[in-house]
Amino acid sequence: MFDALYIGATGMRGQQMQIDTIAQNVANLHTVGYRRSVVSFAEIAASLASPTPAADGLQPTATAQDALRVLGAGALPSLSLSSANGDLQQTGDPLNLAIDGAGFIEVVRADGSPAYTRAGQLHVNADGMLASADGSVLSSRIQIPSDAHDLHIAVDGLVTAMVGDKTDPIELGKIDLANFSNAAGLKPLGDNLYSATTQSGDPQTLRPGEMGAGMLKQGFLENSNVQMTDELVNLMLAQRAFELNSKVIQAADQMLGITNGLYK
Amino acid sequence: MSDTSQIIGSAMRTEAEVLRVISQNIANMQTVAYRRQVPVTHVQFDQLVNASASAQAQAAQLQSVQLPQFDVAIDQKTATLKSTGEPSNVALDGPGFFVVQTEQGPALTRRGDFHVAPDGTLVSSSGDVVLGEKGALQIGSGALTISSDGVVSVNDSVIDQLRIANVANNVRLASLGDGTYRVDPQQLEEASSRPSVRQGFLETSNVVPVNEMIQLMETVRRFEAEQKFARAYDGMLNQAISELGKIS
Repeated sequence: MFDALYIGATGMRGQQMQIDTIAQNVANLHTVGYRRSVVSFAEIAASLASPTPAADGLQPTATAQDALRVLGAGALPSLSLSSANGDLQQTGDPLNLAIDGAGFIEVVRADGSPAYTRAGQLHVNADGMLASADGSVLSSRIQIPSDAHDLHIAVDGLVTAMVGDKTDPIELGKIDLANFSNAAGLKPLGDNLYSATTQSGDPQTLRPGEMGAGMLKQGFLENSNVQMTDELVNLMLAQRAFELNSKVIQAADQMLGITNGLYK
Repeated sequence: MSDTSQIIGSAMRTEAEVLRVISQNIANMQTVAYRRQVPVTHVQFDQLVNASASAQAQAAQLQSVQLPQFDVAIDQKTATLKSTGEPSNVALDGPGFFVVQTEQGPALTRRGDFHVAPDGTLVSSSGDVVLGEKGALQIGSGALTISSDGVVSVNDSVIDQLRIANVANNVRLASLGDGTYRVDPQQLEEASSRPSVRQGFLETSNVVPVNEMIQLMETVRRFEAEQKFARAYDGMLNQAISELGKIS
């Protein structure tokens, strides 16, 4: 009877999701390469009559005038990633790599599926391959010889090192960046990894610095893009909005009680 | 049973509709560019008293009470803009609408949380293609910049200008949900003074929580008063049935 009860519930669910997301963001305030999640709301509206376009397809017919009356049915929350870049922090570690601009480093997970990351805490694994912090090998498959030293990663991704007692650096491979048309649609997999979705589109492999892709910076790491003040303001808003939605449900309940009191 | 109970019933049903509107507004307090719904009740006065009808017909019309019609209007007042820093977010700083292509033809929206679809076109949050003056906007994965007059550039080369439309004040917009409104293309006017386009901003919802809460209080109290009225009428009927015929 009172749709307000259900509409209020959609509002409360949305705010609940907002609070969960803020908690996740704040917990990752210091996670390298973390992208904050953002909840956005869309209004749901149900039309009284299905809009029936006339023969010309556009002019609303007399009956379609009813369709002008649209009933609200709540709000629908959805999650997306913020695409803002975090600040870069100098670490001096030659195996730390940050991306100054757009793009992701592609890695191959243990099960063989590709994943994307911006957390450039690289290490050389037992097989001598460059791998990300969680142990996934970089898809550019760069082998570092055991006697290599003075590893250098250029801004355009070229990896060179001095091997043994040779005096000239040897080229070991190139790190490419994967760029997405809609990085906000990526799906977080945990461990700072993200996977492509139909929302994000397929990755486009680019050389760093080309076609809008960012530059690589060796010896730097990207901080999380969570801003504490923004999260706190959002938390206050979400809490109050949650309360407000609950008041509406309370009012609907009160009105139901009054209805019951009609007959004694 | 009688006109009186019909009128009370109609009034109480109207309060339930008002409550739905308030709950929808509050649930969408944080929806991007949400437009507040306003409950409107009106009696069709010309039907109530028809001047050209005969006196007898007029009397008959007054006898059959016209119940007020409930309707929802949309408050198109521009809300404040908030900075998001996302390059594909845009907000209109003034009246006007973005034009998107939906399955039911072109539609209007003020929701500027656009993104680039996998095929490289700029689409709205609900996936409808955003229209420029020359049609769909091909962005690809390049760096997108939108100037304050709506000129869209990718990697610093101009590709098109965002189409911004307006409708006359008296045109009724049909909501398609998700902040989009269907409109007859003939009623579209090119905006005479284009609002400035702000990249990296989103328009907030124009719901004012205080107004909604006051309306909520009023609605519950009106409902209560109407219930009391119904009870009083019931008491009158009771008296009429049990007391009137009694010979003391």
